[in-house]
Amino acid sequence: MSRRRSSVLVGIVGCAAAASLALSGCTPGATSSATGNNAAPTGAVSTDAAKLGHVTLNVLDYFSGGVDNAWMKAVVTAFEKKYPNITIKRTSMSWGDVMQALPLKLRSSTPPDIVPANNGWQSLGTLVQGGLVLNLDHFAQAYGWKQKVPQSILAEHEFSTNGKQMGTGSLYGMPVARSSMIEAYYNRALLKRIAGGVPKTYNDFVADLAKAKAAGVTPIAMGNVEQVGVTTPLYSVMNALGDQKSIASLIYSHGSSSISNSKSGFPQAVSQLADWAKKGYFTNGFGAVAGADAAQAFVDGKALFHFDYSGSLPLKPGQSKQFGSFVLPRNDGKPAVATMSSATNFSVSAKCAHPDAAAAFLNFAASPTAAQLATNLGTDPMLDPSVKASGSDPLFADDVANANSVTTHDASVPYLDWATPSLLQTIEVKMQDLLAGKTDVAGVVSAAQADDSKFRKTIS
Amino acid sequence: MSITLSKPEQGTNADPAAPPRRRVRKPAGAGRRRPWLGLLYLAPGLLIYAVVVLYPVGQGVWLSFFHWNGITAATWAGFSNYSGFFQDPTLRAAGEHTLVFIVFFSVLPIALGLLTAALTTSKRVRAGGVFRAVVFIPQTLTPAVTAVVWKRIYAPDGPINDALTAVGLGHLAKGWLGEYTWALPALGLIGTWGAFGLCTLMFIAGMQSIPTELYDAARVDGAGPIREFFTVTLPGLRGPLAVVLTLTLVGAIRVFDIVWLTTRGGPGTSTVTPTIVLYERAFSNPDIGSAAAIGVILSVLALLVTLVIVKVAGERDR
Repeated sequence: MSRRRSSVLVGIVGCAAAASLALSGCTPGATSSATGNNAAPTGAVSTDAAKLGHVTLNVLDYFSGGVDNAWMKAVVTAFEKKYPNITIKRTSMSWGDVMQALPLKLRSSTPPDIVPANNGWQSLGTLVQGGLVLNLDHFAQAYGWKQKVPQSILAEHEFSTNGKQMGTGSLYGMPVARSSMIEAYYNRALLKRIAGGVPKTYNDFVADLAKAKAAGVTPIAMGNVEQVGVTTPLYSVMNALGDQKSIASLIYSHGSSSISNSKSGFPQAVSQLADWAKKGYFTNGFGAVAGADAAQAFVDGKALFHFDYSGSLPLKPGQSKQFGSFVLPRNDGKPAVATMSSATNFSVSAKCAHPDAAAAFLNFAASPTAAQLATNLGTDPMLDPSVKASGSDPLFADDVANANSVTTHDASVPYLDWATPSLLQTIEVKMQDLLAGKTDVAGVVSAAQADDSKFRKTIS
Repeated sequence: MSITLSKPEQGTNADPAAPPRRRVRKPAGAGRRRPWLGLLYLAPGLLIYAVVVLYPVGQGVWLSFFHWNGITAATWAGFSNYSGFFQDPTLRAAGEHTLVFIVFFSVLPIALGLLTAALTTSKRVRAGGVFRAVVFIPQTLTPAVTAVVWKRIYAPDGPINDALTAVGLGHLAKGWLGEYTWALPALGLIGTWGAFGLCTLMFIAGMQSIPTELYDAARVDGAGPIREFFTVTLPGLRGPLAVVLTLTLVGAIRVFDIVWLTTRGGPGTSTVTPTIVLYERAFSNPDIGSAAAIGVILSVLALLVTLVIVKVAGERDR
């Protein structure tokens, strides 16, 4: 390469790079202070959507396929039938795409009106801090959402107006009438073979595990090679042994509860899982088993129990008759507590031109009608305990009963990983270390505590 | 057209004084205008390159000087994201894993590729074409497919353990990707398997273009096959070697998909790579500045590696 040409090229590249730097040379992120525009708007709310005139609402969702899409489609159709003056324009993207694009979309001059911001600090929390989503308090009052939705569910969508506190303060999103919860699945035939029963108490469950092991049946199907498999049993045991309020307070970083305190159930759950691993209660070689393989092995009848999200077993048509589900019972006999949230959070963009219409849709998506549409499609409902599973699928009947029980008893806790942006990863890594004998229970607990304390400093 | 064609001439000439000498034959003034006219032809491509590559690169570098969660106002971080890179124990482990991956993604496939190429080109191998196609197949598979297949192969009840048990070595069977000692080399071998075909093919192509007279001359001088390999074959492969080295080294530095789709950096942090940390910081727990800093450091590293290889390979050419 001649020196002359290379110097020209270097010059061009240099100029372009410098120019691009100059172009991007402003501080990234929202420039306006977030707290200024986060108060609830005042003024009359029109709850009669039929009188709002012709309105088009742009809705972004991650219900891009399967029963997700079918439910959303049914809800939109029913809503438009009820309010012919409102047109819903949906855009569906995969979950990952939505999460990556959401901040940019909301900052654009024409954002979608309704967006599926994920609960927790990472998505909804930062959007509230950035003043990008609407405070829905006045709508909550007008529609009576605080009376209709169990507080433990509603709290998952609440933030203080400065975005520094979660699970309290104003409402920045609404749940929909479809749940996503962690359940324990069981194999009916295997349970009969080991002469066990569907656990009514925590001790029943532990007894079933021991019976299964003694009978040569793998007690719990679990695959942890992707690090995430251990979280479903961990959260479930935590909910069974800890105190519901303390767990919620911990996840919302309210400061009144810490993860290393036994009230959170975390230390006991960690040590319980380590004990089960030692006793060989999990899938053989679970540390190297893929999560999907473990779920498949459970469906193939190779294990008694399996913890997973509702509706996520890889079942073939007709197979569901072989299985049942329950929420892990608590050790103190109180109603079972489940890690559960709405299948999506729907928030309204701060720039939405028709907030009344948007609120009407949010209200409809959380209504008993929407819950009934969910059960009709065979997916877990929420918020309306009176809906019954249609058809004769015993597993789905269990799922609906579980979701209804949690709604009735206001017994949900949010996902532990909402607590801090990095807690899930910290716990996953340390749990792997623990189950491989590289650290002890105290090591896991102190690492989680350190992660939590570090995060709390940033929000206080 | 003649004007643009003169550009490569200029490029191939090492002497900066050459163009003025040539200008004598052309109308006065043409030479002076030439670089800018060339640039005009380059402009569309350059513009796209600037928008698609240079601008985002500038943005990335700029972002690396901030603490930013992706939404709220960022705060100036100075060089703390960079100093953080060298102090973070996870990233230090990630750097060590990258060194191991360099062995598996670059050194091993090149060594194996050279050996295979030497063995298959020196003698006429039956069904050589089929063989070459088969070793090249991994290169054509997407990493997502590769990851799923290998996850199955390494599974506790997978074919590797089945084979070990079948030959009476059942005590060696283990959950390969779940073991702290074995997960990293196990993932590394996937890289070796993937790059081996490319290396072999490049070397075979390179060897076929070495004039046979050189081998004849070496043989006349009494060289055996090993001597022949080191004095004729290896120097003749300098070009392909540089290409393969660049590709595989950069591949090892930025390995992500295989790890993310199998172990996610686990068990513990035993297979974590800088790109895994980058992804987690950019998308799961938004700390975009430090993610950008990792990206910048990796890019600079990849650029340095490439420059060194080009320089070394280029020098020996003269």
